[in-house]
Amino acid sequence: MTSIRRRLLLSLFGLWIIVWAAVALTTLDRSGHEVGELMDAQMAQIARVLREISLTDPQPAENATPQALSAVGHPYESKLSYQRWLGDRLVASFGVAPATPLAATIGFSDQAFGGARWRVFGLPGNAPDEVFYVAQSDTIRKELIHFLTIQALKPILWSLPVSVLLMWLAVGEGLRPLHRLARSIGRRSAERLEPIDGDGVPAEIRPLTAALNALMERLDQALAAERRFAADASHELRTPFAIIRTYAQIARRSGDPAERQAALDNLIRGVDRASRLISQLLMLARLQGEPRATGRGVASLVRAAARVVADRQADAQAAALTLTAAVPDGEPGVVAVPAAALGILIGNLVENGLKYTPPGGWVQVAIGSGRGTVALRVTDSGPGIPAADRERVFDRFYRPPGQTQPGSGLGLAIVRRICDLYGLRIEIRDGADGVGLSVLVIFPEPSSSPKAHPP
Amino acid sequence: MRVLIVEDDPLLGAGLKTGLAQDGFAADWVQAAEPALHALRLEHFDVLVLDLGLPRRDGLSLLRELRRAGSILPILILTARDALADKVGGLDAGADDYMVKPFDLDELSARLRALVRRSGGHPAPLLSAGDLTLDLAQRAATLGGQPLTLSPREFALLEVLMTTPDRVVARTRLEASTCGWHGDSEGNSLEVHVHNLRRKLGHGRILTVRGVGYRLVCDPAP
Repeated sequence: MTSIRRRLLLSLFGLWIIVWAAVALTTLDRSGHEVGELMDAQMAQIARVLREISLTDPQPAENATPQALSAVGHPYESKLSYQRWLGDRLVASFGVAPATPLAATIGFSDQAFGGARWRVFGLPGNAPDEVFYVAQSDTIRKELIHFLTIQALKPILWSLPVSVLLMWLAVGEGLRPLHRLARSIGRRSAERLEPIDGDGVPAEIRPLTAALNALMERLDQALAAERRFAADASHELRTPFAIIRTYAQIARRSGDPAERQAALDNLIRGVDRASRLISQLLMLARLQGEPRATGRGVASLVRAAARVVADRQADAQAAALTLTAAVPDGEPGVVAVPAAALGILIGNLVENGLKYTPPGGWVQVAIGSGRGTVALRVTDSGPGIPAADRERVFDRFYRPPGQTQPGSGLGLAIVRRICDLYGLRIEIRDGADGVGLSVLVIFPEPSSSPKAHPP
Repeated sequence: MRVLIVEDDPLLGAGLKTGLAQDGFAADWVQAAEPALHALRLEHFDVLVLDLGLPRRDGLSLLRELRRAGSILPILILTARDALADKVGGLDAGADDYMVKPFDLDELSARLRALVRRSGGHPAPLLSAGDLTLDLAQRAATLGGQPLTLSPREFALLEVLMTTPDRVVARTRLEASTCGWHGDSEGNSLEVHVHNLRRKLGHGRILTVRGVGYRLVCDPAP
């Protein structure tokens, strides 16, 4: 499991170590430099003091031997050394200096003798061939630098565990809004899908809450569609089930074969109605749950219309109606609606026409195009729909007053839903010469789509 | 017993009519509120089966109008609306009973009989006239303790006559109460049924009042 706290801590700690190391190295370098400067200056001054003192004895006769260290002094004296040369004569010496000149040059230089590294300063004396040398062991400098550095870094090292603890707490504090949000979401029931309150949520978490809210909204819609389906189904199926039960009882009680036969026929009609209602309710629920989707596929309107007209010929003949298609030649009429949805749309419109048109009449499916649109027109010679009812016929379960034809009241609701999903315009008008009904569906032509041609 | 069914669904309406006729009701069926009011104004019905979801005018509105007009007709609501609020609303608007679809035909018939019984002041499901008894629940008749076999039409006819014993019942009322609007499916007239009843009950039991109707005699002279 990835933990934000652990990741934050690790990266903070890593950064802290890098910064700390850089500070330590810089300190080491800077203090080393400063200590070196200071000590170099001291050596130069010692050399000058020695030169001033030597004025009391400008021309010593004897050669000097290195002086031994006395009991009174400091162990570190062994780390210091000096020489006074007059020409090639060593006239004064102190410390562990060898019998040769400490350095070959005047000024500062680094030398090695006696198994150690030394810093040497050469100063010309008062006499022309006189030279003073002051030497200091490198160990002293190093020890001092180390000591200073460690003293400087000690508090930082001590503060390491405290820093880690503080970082841990700070990261925890920083993550508190996230925990609060998690708790508030965790406390929600599955029934409560209202959006999460965005106030008081840090800006960093806001994209998360926004995404969650969007998901919640989609879930809510899907859930609402499911609930509506359940409620609609339980209500709307009551009548078909009452029909089925009534005719089953009539058939069971009846001693008259003809009456029993009629009851059984009606029972089957009731079962058909129930199953048709269920499939339509399911279709509507699925369509309701889907988000608005355009460009999810294209299909030929002409082909879809031709298929519906062919499929419904038997129904038309049974109802003594003429069902025809008027489609333009060689033009597929491609629209941005999947073939399945197109089939349902045209099928429901044609079915309505066949259902409500009296025997001897006609139903026609026509397709035309122009001005960047493709239009589908389903007309019939039936009774039409009064202007006052034209908006309401799209409502679920709405059945015009006095309607005696069996129907679920869902066919046009499904048509409307498909139109909403794919951005189609639907209009109900009077039929030709004011007779019958004309339903017009206007499709925007998918000219901008790169896959404008069906396979 | 004459029942008016108000149900807009053609298939269910026809089924109710057939089913209730099987149970001995003289059932008539209309599909909307206005025809129902019209029928109730013109003719006598013993009980009303009312659907709530009617086209144009809701069943509840019809119910309220009937009660406002002072009708004491027993009314049973038969509807797909199963919410408690609908039931309470329906009963408070003046319905005597409430049934939710889908329903059992036997239960519907029994409830309708109970409603008619209570409204007629006969809480017991037993009608009697002398040594003649009619068990409305069992649809059985006895004469002097002996079981009597009656056709549904004969039973319905006897039921109407026994509700008002020793009084004349108009023949139009008898016809409607036994056969409904569409007459006898077997094509028999009221006279035929009366004739058959007389044969089973013995002569002197049902008297003809010429030009008016018939009268049931409780204790015929031997």
